Amino acid sequence: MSLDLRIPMGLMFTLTGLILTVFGFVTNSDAALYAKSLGINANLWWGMVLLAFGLTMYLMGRSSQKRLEKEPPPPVEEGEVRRGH
Amino acid sequence: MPLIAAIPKMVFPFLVILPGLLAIGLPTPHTTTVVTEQNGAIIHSTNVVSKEAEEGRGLVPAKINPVTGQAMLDASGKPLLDYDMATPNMLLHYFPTGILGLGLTALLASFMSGMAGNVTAFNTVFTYDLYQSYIHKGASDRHYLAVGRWATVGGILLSIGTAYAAINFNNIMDTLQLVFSFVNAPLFATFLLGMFWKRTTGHGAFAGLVTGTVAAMVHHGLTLPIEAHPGIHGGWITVLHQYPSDMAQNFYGAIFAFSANFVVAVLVSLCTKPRPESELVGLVHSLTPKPPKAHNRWWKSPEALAVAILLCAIALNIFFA
Repeated sequence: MSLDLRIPMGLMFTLTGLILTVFGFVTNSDAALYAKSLGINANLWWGMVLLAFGLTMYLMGRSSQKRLEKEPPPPVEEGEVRRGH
Repeated sequence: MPLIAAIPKMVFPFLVILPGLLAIGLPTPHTTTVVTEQNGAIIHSTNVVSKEAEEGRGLVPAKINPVTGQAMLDASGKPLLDYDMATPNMLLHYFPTGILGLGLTALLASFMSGMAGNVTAFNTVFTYDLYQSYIHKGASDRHYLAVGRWATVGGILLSIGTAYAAINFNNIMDTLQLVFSFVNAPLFATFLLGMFWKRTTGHGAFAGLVTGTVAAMVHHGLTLPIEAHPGIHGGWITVLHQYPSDMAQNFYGAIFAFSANFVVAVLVSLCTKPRPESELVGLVHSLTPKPPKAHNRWWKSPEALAVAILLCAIALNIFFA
């Protein structure tokens, strides 16, 4: 089995992004909390960045996984020397 | 693949230099007392700042000698700054609850993955390339596995010892580049010759490697960065030359090591018997059959990518010079 790395990685980023976005959204009115970051809701913004990145990776990984599963595996020529890693 | 990994490497200075510049440019925290009067009561509220933060610059704290509790001073009497703390202090200063946890997790994750990768490499190289090849041949797999595990223990103890030596440097990059000038710079010359010159012999490579490392050591012993005490920073033989910084000393050390290795390896190779070419197929570039030209488009070829990355790196260097 070959798993596209973008699927687990994308899911991990999506989960982290979801936690941060929800926390940032809930604490959006808390001015004391965001005084440190100069009034910018860093949790909400960075959470959304992570969410977008994670979802993009997950969707890209899933579509290429589906495409590879439909295609037959490429034939390996007999006696061919395999190079590289 | 290494070419693709070179692309994020180009933006590395933005990740390491920019936060450092910002951290040193911020106002240095001082112990302040604010006196306010509320309902006739006089309230003194004192904001106490630790000694290392007060003697530092911006958010970069001073290095404190763990034995005496005093700030460590350079040769001109100014406190040494602990640049390694720039990024963690920036995180603590600017990140609110929530993303602060993510930032600290990311820092820890990068430390751990670096540590894990190096420990794995250490025990593999020691067991496989040194112990199995030269010290104890033909033992059982169980024996080698046990040796590998003990090599891990030894490697960790060695790294703890190295950490104590690294305390004397005010940032980890200087330490790292010093080690690289001893180890990697001579090795680079050996690899280049071995891969692209079929006349290179084993004796030449070994003699070059030893000379290169010794040249780096002698260079380190004869030179000293300005405002540093002789010792681990160099100058332990005698101080012939002073460099403006640790990094300048490291780079010149690397140049000396590379050149010494290159010259000695070539000279010794010319004096010793060459290996027959039939034994070098697959090892030397000119004797290795080329893989069939990939049917990719030209912009997907490694050469185009390499040239593009090189041009980008040069452009960035000119822009920020």
